[in-house]
Amino acid sequence: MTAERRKTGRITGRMMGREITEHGVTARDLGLIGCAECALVQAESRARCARCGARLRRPDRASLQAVWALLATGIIAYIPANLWPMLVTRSFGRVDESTIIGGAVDLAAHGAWFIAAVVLIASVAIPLCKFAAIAWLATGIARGSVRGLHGRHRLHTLVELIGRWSMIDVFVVAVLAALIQLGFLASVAPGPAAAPFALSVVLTMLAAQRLDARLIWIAADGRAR
Amino acid sequence: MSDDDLAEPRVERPRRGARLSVAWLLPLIALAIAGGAAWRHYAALGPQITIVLDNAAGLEAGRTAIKYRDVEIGRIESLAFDDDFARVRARARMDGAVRDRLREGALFWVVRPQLTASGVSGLDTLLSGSYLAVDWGAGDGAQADTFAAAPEPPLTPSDTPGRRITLRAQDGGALAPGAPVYFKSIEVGRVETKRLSADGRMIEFDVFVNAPYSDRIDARTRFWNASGVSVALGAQGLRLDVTSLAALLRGGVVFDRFADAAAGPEDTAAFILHATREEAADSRFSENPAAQLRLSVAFDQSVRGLGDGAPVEYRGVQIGVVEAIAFVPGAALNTLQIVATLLIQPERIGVIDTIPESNLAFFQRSVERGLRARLASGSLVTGALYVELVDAPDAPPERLDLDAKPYPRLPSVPSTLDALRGRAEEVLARINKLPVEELLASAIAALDSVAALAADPDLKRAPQELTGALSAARGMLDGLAEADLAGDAARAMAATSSAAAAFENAAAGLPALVRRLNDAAAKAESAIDAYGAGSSLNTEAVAALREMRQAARAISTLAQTLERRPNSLIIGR
Repeated sequence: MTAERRKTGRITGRMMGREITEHGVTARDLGLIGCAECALVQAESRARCARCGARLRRPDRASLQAVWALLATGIIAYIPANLWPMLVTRSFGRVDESTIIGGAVDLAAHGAWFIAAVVLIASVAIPLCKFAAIAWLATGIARGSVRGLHGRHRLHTLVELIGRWSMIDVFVVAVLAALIQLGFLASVAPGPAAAPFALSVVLTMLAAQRLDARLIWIAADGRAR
Repeated sequence: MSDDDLAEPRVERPRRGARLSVAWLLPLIALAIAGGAAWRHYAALGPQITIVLDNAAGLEAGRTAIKYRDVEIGRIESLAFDDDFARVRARARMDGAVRDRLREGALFWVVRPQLTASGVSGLDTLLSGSYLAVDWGAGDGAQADTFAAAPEPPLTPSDTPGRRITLRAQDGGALAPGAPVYFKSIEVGRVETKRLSADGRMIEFDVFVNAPYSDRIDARTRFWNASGVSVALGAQGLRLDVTSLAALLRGGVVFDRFADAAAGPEDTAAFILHATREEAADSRFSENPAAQLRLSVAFDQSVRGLGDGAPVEYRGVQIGVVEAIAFVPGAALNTLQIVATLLIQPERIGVIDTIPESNLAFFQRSVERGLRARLASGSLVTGALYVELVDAPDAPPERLDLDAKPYPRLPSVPSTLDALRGRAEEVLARINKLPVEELLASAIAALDSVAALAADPDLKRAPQELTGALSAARGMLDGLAEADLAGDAARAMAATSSAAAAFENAAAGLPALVRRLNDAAAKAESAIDAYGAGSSLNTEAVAALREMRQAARAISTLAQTLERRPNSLIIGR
């Protein structure tokens, strides 16, 4: 839905000396900007919100650079997270180190298919999909793509919503390490992969957050700055 | 609020086409960290080595660690067979820090639970699984990447302070690798290996003695074998020594220093392992070649009982040993002499001159003063002999024959031994020659005649004749009485009774005779017993004795009759 299209159609009201059609109007169309914190709509020329004082962020494709940077860092952190052991189990003097995928394979080998699937989905599938999704959204914005705007918007919402669930692995490790400390009999410690994994999840969440959904639509307006 | 109502002027910054966000620093930092970690990983990644083992019992690829002082320095990555399936090759990735230590001589072994005579080890591996331990060895070999695993852990880690020495023994006994080494009953080391010497004549032991006890080892140190139990029966009674349980099972080595021992070359690495403490103590005389003197002695008589190693004594003190006994051609043609070589240690008799010539001169003078060698009996039971040096001042003068071969000849005197032996033999021969059989034969004959006498019908008839004579005499008396010859008759009666008294006297002598015969029989019996049952002599003798006893009984009966009624001889029963 482009800006031109919003000017056509049935007039349903007026605002700031301008006719509002049935296709609605954007703050941008009216030279206004909404505060991301308190949702106050105000003049686009302001630097800070007139009500809450938060910095007003204009939709800017330059912000995509931060998305890309965060995403790249997240992917880099994801590599050691999978190569290094996530969990170090000591039992009767034997030390067992298991990586995320290795642990899932072990679980599957013991017949725990459901848990193996949960681990694989939460720790492997979701992060990988998130990387792909964020990269695709960012590329779409950068190229000014006007296709599948609704789908992309929904994907963005989904990525933001589901991102935190990737931390399930880190939580499991944290809980196990806290619970199973039976000395020589058995003890569990987080492996060196736990930190990069958590970092990767946090960075991708930040990347998703930094991805300004408004840019998806602005691209459709064809006049994104 | 009026200020806020005013639209703030928006400052438009000039736009540059490709402005870089500071956010790009983040992935750069991440890359730097990741790169650093990777670089560190690969830098620490040490060399890959191959350990060749007999079997891979307890080893797991990717899990079994290689440890040095219980710190992990590597891990086995894969296990495979070698080409002919005879051994297992374990590929291991070592820590980079130990790269320089991987040299020839480094020793790997598998640590497993072990139960040995000296204790239990490796119990922790029961739960944690086996691991490979390493000893770097001397560390002066060439760099290597293939190592053969040792079947047993080295008894002494290569960096243990101490000293490794070799012990040589004729017979190792029960001494086995791992046996303890004691110094004044403190365990100070271990026997590491046991092997045959290169020439195959001795047993060699590698022994490691820990510092600081290794400082106790010098040329005056003597080693001896301490089997677990030693029993000594001496003047103090029975003595039982038990060193330790470990020594009981695997033997042990004890060493000590003998202050007066001859000092051999310093820094010697090989010692003799003596069989007993006594031998070790004795060795302090025998090991100094300069203080040894060899003499020879020729003996005329048999040297049976004189063996190699038999002591040479002077006034009861051992001063040497018999080293060899051999035949050498005698002075006369086609004669042989028995010559014993004596190894004399003059130190023992206080001659501490270490110059052989002066020792020889000492013996020369002694021989001129009457020193002689002779055989003496060490034990009457075993017949063992020894060589005794005696002072015989009244012996014909002789000299030490310096030209004799192989060693200077010490004059000998006949031993008292032969005289003693000869006399004993003579006594035995005389006993052998005793005419026992003739004696018995004549005794039997004598007894036979006694028996014949007793059984003689004439003798039995004698009382009857006497009775007849008496009745005749009575008749005569009657006649005489009638002829008033009673007085004469009474005189005749008195004569008769005196005759009876004489008979009685004779009868009284008979029991003594019987007793004597009995004694003789008993004596003969015991003599015959000595000859043993079953011999013909014995049976004959028994028969003779039986007859003798019968004769004695007959005489005894006669004697009793006579005693009871002496006049029965005259007047009949």
